[in-house]
Amino acid sequence: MSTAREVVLRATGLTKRFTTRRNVLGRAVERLTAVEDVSFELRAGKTLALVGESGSGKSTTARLVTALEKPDAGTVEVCGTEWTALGRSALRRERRRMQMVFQDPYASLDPTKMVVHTVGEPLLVHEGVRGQERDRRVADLLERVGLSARHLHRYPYEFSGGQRQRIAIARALAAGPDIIVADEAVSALDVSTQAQVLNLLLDLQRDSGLAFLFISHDLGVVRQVADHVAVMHRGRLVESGPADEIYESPREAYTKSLLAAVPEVSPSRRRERAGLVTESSTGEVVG
Amino acid sequence: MPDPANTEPSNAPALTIEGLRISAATEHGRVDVVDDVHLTLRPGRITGLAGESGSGKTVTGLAVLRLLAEPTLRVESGRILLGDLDLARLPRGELRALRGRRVSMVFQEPMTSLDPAFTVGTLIGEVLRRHLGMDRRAARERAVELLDRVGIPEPEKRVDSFPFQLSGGMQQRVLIAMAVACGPDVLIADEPTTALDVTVQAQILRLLRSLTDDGMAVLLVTHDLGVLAEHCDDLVVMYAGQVVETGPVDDVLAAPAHPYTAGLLAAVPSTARRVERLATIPGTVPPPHLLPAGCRFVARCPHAAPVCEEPVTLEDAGGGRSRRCARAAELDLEGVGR
Repeated sequence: MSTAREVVLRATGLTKRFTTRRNVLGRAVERLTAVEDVSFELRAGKTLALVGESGSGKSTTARLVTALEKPDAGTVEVCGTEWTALGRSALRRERRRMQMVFQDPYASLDPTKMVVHTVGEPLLVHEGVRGQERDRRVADLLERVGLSARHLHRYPYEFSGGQRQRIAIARALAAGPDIIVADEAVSALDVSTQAQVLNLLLDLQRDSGLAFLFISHDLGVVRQVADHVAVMHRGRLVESGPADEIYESPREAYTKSLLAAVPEVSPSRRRERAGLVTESSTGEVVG
Repeated sequence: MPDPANTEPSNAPALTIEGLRISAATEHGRVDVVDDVHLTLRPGRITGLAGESGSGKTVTGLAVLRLLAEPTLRVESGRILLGDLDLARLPRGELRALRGRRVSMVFQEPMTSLDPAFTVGTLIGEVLRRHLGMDRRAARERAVELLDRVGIPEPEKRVDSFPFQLSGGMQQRVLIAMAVACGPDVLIADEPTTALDVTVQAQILRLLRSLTDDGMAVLLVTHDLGVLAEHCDDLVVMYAGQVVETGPVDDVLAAPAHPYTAGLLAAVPSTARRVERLATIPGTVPPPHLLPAGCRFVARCPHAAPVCEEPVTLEDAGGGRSRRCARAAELDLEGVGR
């Protein structure tokens, strides 16, 4: 079953360079390669996690995949359509297939808009739904994310961080996407709230076959949601594979050192981990 | 570094907080955001202060150095004892002489804590010149030694760097160098590694540990239970402004005495295995103006009973542990395997 599922997102050879210095003529003299030759596939109903430290290129990759940034090389294909070849208006129509949930729910929601407008906007844009029909649809979406119809006419400031992230998820769902790109979507939440939102994402995936591109620096969180993991380091994919393989028998020294550095609550699991990773791979990387 | 007579870790506490109560002015009037907080920092030990946002852990840390945004936040009662001195009552002038000298603080975001207009050497030197009266030249030499002590390579070169020329991990090391420049008795570190990558985080925490060798006491404030489990000696758990549990970290983790601690431990996502469904704590922390009269965790607690509606005090449970739970004696809570 799982291998037969269709590929909903395919990135091939993505490369992105940023100019960091220009000469007096305005020509680029120094460039930083943020992402180099990154390729991966995401299948319907599955979760691919992109992990790495700050500066590894995972967020740039997310911006390339969602066409917020143009790659210097490589292609992005979403549900069979090559996004990197589309014009602006065609891309606009396609965007509903892939929605994003961002890290900071205090910054990503418009503070001047009531929930019904924030969540209802994709319905208006993509389907022309308005009025009572919109209210009804938004109320349904709120219930799917664990909120209720009584929240329709409230403003973001009236909600906690976890509730705001639920609103952001409801807005993403409103477009009826095949893929949700979650960029550090639970990183700003407290553990107890974080667990609630992660369970919500897993429920949504099970009920509606959504695919997630899950970008996170938190390897504990990734362990709980990912089917496949791709490890990024200095703009490149250093290792990728099924989540169990990456966590239980990582091959690359970088992956090992990353796993070894994650603080673990349980002393017994800490010992298990120490057995997995040899001393040499935990060597100092000067920060 | 502390003077030689003081390097022997003794059992006398470096800092004691007793019955601390802090109020905040809000749209609902003045409400208590920290209530009846007790904690003890001992020389050479790292005490972890755990809690979620809104638990009062940061406000508690700030209160030690009297860095609360007054008059919005105000200490109502309680004592903060550094030896014989009550920091909560000390005149401003005397307090200023202690900050950075006997009690120091390190914050979460190194870039916003360092003045971008000065070199690292000037920033560290400023502390030494102000508190220890060193001249420019001696302060610079000492700054180089301190940079070396906090693990910055090529300290003679780095001493002339500006903060923006350093990575986040390096900036945090500089901040720590400033904080420990005068050999304080107590270091308050508020989420010192939250903005850093995990590999860098591990290095910074090892650095903090090595600094306690000289007898410095550290209060490590963080929401990250993994960090606390690996890097502190004693644990203090706060919930909704109160301390709900304290004790040696391994004992608390193996057998938590408060349902909130147990709930937090269960909710931490582990890298070791994928679980069917993550354990959650239902609901959210009540806002300070809507706190119940009894146990503040009662609405979210799976073990709530009528007895929990009564006010409950932090009581000594033996073995260096204490807890604030009316049902603690009859509950058998699950911790993490030793």
